[in-house]
Amino acid sequence: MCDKTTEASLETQRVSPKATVEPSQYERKRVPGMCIKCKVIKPNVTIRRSLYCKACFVRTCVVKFRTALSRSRKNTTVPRTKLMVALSGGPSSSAMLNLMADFQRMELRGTEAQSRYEDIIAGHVDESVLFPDVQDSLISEIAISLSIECRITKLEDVFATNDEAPLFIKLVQSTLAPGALKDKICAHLVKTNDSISSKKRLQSLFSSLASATDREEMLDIIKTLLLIRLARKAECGVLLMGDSGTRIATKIVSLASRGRGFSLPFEVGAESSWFDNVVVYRPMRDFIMKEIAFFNMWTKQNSVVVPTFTTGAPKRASIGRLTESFVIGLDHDFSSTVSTICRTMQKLEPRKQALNSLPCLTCGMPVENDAQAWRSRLTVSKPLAVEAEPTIQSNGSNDVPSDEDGLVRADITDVVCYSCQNILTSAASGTTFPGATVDHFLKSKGPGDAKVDIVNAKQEALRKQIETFLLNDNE
Amino acid sequence: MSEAEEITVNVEFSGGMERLMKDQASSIQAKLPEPATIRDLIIHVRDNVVEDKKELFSKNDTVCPGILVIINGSDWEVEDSEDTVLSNKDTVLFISTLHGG
Ligand SMILES: [Zn+2]
Ligand SMILES: [Zn+2]
Repeated sequence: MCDKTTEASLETQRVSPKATVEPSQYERKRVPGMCIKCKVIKPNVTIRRSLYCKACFVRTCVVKFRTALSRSRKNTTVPRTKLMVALSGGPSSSAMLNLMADFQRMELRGTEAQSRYEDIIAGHVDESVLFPDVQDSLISEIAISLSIECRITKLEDVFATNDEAPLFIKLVQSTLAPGALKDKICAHLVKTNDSISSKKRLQSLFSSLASATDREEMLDIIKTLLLIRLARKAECGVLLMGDSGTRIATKIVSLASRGRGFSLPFEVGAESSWFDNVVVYRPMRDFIMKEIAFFNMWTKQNSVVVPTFTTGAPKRASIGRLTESFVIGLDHDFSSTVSTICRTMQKLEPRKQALNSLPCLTCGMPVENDAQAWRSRLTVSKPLAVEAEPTIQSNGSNDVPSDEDGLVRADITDVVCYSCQNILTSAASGTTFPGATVDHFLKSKGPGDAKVDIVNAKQEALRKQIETFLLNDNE
Repeated sequence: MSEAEEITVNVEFSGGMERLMKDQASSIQAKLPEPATIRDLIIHVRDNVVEDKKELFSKNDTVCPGILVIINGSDWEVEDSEDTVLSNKDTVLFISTLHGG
C-alpha cells in the first residue's frame, strides 16, 4: 500500500496521538505549505482544501468521532447501555468500529474507569443470499482484530417465522389502471407456515421487484430492520450506523426523489429515536469518503468491498447510483457540497405530524397522512427510459379477493408509506413482503398513547384485523 | 530495461477498483517513458489495464470523481495532482470510494 520506508512510522501514531512524528520521508520538489495543525510537518493529505500530516489527520478523525458521539448522546436521553456498531465491512463502518473501539479503550483508561457504554458489539447482516461472492469470514475478522464480538444475522432472517414479526404482506394484485384504481393496492397479511424456505422467499422477493432502484430500497429497508432487531436482541440501547457525509448527502437527494422526504429526518438524521428501545446515531456523518479511505490506510484498518445491485453498472442503473455520481461530481467541483447538504439536513426537524404517524407496515418509517393525496400531486420519474414498464394487471374487477385459507385482507394503503406503495404497485403479484412493524401494532393497545385520535383509530382497526387473523390461525 | 529512458511504477488498485482491471489485478507494474506524470500513468492504465468499462475509471485524461490517487502513501493533491512527476519505483494507489464500486 505505502512504500516500505513510511510503514514503520505509521503504527504508533493512532495509539499515542501525541507521539512525535517523523517528517514525510520522500523528497518532493514542491511542497505547498505545511500541515494546518502542527505547522511543522509536510502534509500528506488535503481535506476540503486543508492540509494535514498523517499524525494530525488521524488525531483529527478521532476527535471528530468523539465529538459527534457526545453530541448525539447529549441530544438523546439514553441510560447506560450496550452499544451496537452496524458493520457492513465497508470502509466507513470498519473505520467506525475502529474509532468506537478506540473510544471505549480511552473511556476505560479514564478516571472513572467505566465507560458510558457497558459493552461494544458489532452487528452484521450477512447478504450472501443475494451476493454470494462476499466472504463473511473477512468481516468477522474485522471485529475480531479489534477484540469486539460480532453478531451476525442473515438477510433472509427477515422472513424467519419465529422472529419478532411473524406476519408478512402478500401482494395479491397490483392494479395500475389509470385513475382511481391506481392507488388501490391489494394485499393480504400472511402467516407463513408453508414449506418455502426464507432464503427462497427472499430471493423471490428481490426478483419480483421492478427496478434496481426498488431492489436497493428494499435492501436498505430490510437491513435497517434486521439491525434494529439484532440490537434489541443483544440488549443494545444504541445502534451506530456508519453513513458517511458523502453517503448521507447521496441518501438525502435520492430519498427525497423517491418520495421519502417525510421520513428523511429519521433515515439520515444524526440521531433518531423513532424505533422502540433502540436509538440510532450516525457518528460518521461529518466524514467524507476520502477521509475514511485515508484513515483506514493510515491505521491499517481492513475493510471489504460491499457489493450492491449496481456495482460496476453505468451511472444510470438506479436512482441511488445516479445520485451518487451526481453528488460526488458536485463535491469534486465545489468541495463543500456534501457538507452543505448535510448541514442543511441537520436543520430539518421531523414534523410533529411525522412523530405521531403510524409506522409503515413495510419499512417501519412514519407514514404521511394521506399519502395518496400526495401521490396524485407527484410523479417520480424513473432514471431509465429502457426500464420495463410494470405489468398492468387487468382482472376487470377492482374487487379485493375474498379471504381464503385464514388469510386476512388488510387495507394497507393507509399504513404503507408513499415510497413503499410505489415499490408494491410495481412489484409482481404474489410477492411476499416482510411485515416489518406488525409487532408494533400488536403491542400498542392501550390508551394513554400520545398519538393523534385518527391514527389511534386506524391503528386499532389494523390491530383488530391482525388479532382476528392470529386467532383464526390457532384454531 | 534501459534505465535512462524508462521508469517502473508500482500501481495498486483497491476499494473495488481492481474489479475493473484485467484479471481483476490488484497490483501491476507499469513501465513509462521518462519523464512521466500521473496523467501519463492514468492514460496508460486506462488504455492497457482497464478491462472494458473505461468510463468508470477515467474521463478527460484524469480519474473519475470518487477515485483517490495516492502517491507513495500521500494524497496526490498535496503535490501537483495530474501533473505530479513520477520517479522510478514510485507506488501509486488508486482507491475507489464509490458505494457502487
Ligand atoms: Zn501535523
Ligand atoms: Zn414504507
